[in-house]
Amino acid sequence: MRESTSIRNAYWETEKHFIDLVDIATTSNDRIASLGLQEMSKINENAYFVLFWGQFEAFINDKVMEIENSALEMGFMSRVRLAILPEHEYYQDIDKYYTWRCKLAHGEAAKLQSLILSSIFDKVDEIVETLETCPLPLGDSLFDLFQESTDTGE
Amino acid sequence: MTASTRIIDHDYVVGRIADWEKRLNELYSNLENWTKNIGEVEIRRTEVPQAREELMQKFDVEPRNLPAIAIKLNKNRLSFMPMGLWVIGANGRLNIKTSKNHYILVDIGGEEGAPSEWVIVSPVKRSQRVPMKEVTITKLLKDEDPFV
Repeated sequence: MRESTSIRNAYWETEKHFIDLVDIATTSNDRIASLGLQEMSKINENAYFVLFWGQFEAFINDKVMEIENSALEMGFMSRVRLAILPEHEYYQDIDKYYTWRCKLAHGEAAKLQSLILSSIFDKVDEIVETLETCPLPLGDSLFDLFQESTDTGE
Repeated sequence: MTASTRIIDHDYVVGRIADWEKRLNELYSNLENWTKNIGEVEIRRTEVPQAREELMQKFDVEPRNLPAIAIKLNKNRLSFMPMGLWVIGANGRLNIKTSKNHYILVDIGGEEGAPSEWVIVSPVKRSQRVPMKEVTITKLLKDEDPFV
């Protein structure tokens, strides 16, 4: 994902600003400012989540076009299924994140719960690295068995 | 009771907040123990207003004040501010602010009465987690990078 590092850096610069402001408001016993800033911090991290997710969708689109050139006519999770079988844990992670992304991007919510973006960024980057290096689709046990027997020369 | 059979109601939400407060106080007690032998350390416990999180709104649970802590060593001031219990990816989050740096502290344990596992994470330190222990707080008090 081309902009993964840039988005991580941009998010952290803004989040540090909120950490400063919450600290100042709390230290000066400004309860209303503290609560307002905590709320703004949540909206900020949700916004960066959607931005980061857009990069992942673009990556998936490029990846599955190598497999099936009509993939862009499918819904996003159908495209994901071309690269990762639904039984694979990565598929479950993507499905969960995509549900959150849709709620945010389609206006159902301006924020979800607070997100630990570090963990989500790391997980998505891990999935991307795996998809770039492993045969697709991930989670294909028949393929894995075939690979195993080939590797052992059986 | 498993997650799938757990009943989420007013009492459950109140219980989770009480458990959050307990885990915070345990963390601060550890910080106090770890820092008592480090020079002229000043420690001040304070409170921060709790945001009304989604489940609290849904089950009409009033926010309370949650404990926070500030630790000072010479010119370095270190604060721990709880920012949320229901966070996606952990079981509670705090902000850590030093005189020059910022960190996020999360509890990746603490579920169903299990012991807390406090780790520092950073959005710009890929896949790195630093457990909160004596050596970590010593570094933070000196405003040194705990990831190094």
